[in-house]
Amino acid sequence: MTSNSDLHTKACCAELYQSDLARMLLGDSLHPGGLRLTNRLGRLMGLSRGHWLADLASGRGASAGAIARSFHCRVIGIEYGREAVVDARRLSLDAPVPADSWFIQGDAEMPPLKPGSFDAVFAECAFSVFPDKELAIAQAAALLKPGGRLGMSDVTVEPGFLPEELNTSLGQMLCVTGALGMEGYADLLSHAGLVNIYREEASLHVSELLTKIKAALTTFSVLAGMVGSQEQTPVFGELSPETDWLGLVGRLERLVSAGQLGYWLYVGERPA
Amino acid sequence: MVDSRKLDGKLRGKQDADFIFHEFTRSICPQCKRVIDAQVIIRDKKVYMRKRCPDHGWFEGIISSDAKMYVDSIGFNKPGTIPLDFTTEVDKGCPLDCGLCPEHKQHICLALIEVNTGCNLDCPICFADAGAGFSLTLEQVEGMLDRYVETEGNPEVVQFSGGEPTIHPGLPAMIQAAMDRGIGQVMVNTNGIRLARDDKFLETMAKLNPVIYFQFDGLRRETYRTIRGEDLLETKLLALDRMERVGLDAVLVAAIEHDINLDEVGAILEFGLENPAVRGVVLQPVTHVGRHIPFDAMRRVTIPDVIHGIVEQTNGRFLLEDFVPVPCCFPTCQVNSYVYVDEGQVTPLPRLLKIEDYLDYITNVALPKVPDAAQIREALEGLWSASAVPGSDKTTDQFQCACGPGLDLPFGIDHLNKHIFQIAIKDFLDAYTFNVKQVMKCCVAVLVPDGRSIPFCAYNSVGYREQVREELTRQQKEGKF
Ligand code: SF4
Ligand code: SF4
Ligand code: SF4
Repeated sequence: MTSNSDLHTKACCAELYQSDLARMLLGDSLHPGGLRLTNRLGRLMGLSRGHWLADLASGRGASAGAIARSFHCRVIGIEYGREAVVDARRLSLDAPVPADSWFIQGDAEMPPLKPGSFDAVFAECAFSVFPDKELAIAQAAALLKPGGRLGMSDVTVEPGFLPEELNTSLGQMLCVTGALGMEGYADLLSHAGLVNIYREEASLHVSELLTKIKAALTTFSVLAGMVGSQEQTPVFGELSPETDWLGLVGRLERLVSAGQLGYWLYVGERPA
Repeated sequence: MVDSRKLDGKLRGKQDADFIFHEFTRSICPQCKRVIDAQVIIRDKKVYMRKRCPDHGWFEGIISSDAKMYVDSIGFNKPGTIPLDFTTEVDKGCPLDCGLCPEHKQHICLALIEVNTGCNLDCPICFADAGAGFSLTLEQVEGMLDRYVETEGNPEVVQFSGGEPTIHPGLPAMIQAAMDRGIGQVMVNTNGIRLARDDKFLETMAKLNPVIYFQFDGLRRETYRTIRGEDLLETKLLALDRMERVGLDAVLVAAIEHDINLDEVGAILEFGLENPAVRGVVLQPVTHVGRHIPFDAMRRVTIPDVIHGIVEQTNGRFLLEDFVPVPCCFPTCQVNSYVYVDEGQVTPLPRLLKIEDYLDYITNVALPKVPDAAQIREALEGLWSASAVPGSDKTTDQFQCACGPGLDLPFGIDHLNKHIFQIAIKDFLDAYTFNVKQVMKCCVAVLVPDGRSIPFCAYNSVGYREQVREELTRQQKEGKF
């Protein structure tokens, strides 16, 4: 891939990320399945009233708030981005229905929290972007009380199957560049000494997302054709007709149906 | 041998019946609610249901004032989707096993949670028969939502209703609970009084931003006096102004009755199209369940009356063909239309695209040969469904896809949200029109704390509402919640 097209992709990606389209497709929680999967993960972790939780890479706190309210738990979110932490605090103060959630700035790979004091720790689309996954999982597992559970939901890419055009910032945004395979995460959990490892496939949510993207792209390309290719549209921005976005989405869909690209939930338990 | 002459000496001759026998189904007795056989017949180009209860005799009522529309709608019947889990077993037979029992033919697109029975009004027409009863706790509602997630996997829409949900102090937390579970669209069904009067409540709603399913029966004071028992026009207009100010989207919901406001359907629609807070209009012929004023079962309002009313009262802005049956439920239950509104110009989507080419599943075997036909069908299915919520990003997305090839649209989603307008006409069943085949494919259900989801028209007509209310009221009195 030439640096020119790389730049082009980056521009597209930034545009896409800030666009109405991304918000529409991903919503506030910015991962496939949204709060639906967050809720599922909460159930799989067996959360109940009064539990203490840590949310690794908590972003703007949408999941932490939802988990805290749905399961009547107390959640501490760790997030590296300062702005995101400020937003998360502001949103939580401003929330019409308060949640027991607090946010601190810090490195989610090495959370500044007291080991052995959490009933559960969860991380959504986080391990796929952590550069040192072994260290991160060891730290996360150490936060758990004996019997506590670690829940994880993440993008899976089977080794060697990442399409070249996704080895880019677009790929980063989609959490696929550093993603492990389906077994990879399970191994990670067991290497950290966690037991009773459970996994559940949620790849359907990726297919749903791709279908939505495809519908939007189809419409846009039909419309772009109608209004003339010179026309730049507010949502479409740099996503020019030369880029074969539909082709890419199609390749991704095939990877999902072949089981090479997916989204999985994992839960592991710290031995009592 | 039988004498072929009558006593008066005239010859007996065979005569044609004055009706066409259309179908045989099951219904209930309007008096004792027992399940009885029923015939659907067509007479004078109108459709009637005729049935006999062994104890209470014969009953007849109109179900559609336009037989052609009724019969033509049948093709718009999409295969149902099976939910992930059923809650009851098949035992006594439909509609006594709700629900959902494994014989049900559709999953739930839209779930209703009636959070209380009390209301700040006392309308002469109220299908919920609002008054003293129960008020659910947040824990109960959370349990119902969790069950809904279990049975649906990806539940689409929840509507909080009552009674009057806005007088329940726990409503904001309940709305939030639905959103926290990832349920895409949350609606609040309200008479709007609290939105008109309570600043703090309005502000809380603005933050949560549910779609307001707003009772709005017309623009005449007399209409409110008759249907709601008092002149509410000012309050309604004030509530709408306030919703607009804080950015809440409203859908106007009108109960339509002969000699009261059937002549106002055009005006309600035009008003909605012009009001910046309004994203859609739902016109519902009055269902004669709960509290209602005296009525004639042979002269009730049906879907075609509303469509004809709109066409006649809007100076040619709308045509009969702009209204298309909804395929996800039984197609005689609801018709929808979508319009794109820009600077006072109104373009109904069915003028841009032959909807029946995509949504008539029975007569059309193949999709039209245009690129993206499958995606257009998918988008249209989303729009023509009970879960399409006007003003939502999802609905906008589908509108954009569905009408893309025929219309030069500005592209911003937010822009489209403000320009797409939904018109829905829903004819809920009552004891005279109750047809088992419709409830069996119903996609609108009332969630009950014990985990059941009961198809809305069965809930209202068969006796479930009364049973659930009695049980919950008793439990609450006994301090069980
Ligand atoms: S309406 Fe549906 S759930 Fe109820 S009894 Fe009939 S088939 Fe079963
Ligand atoms: S119709 Fe609505 S507003 Fe009127 S009494 Fe019933 S619940 Fe209350
Ligand atoms: S609620 Fe009644 S009218 Fe609506 S889909 Fe169900 S049966 Fe049909």
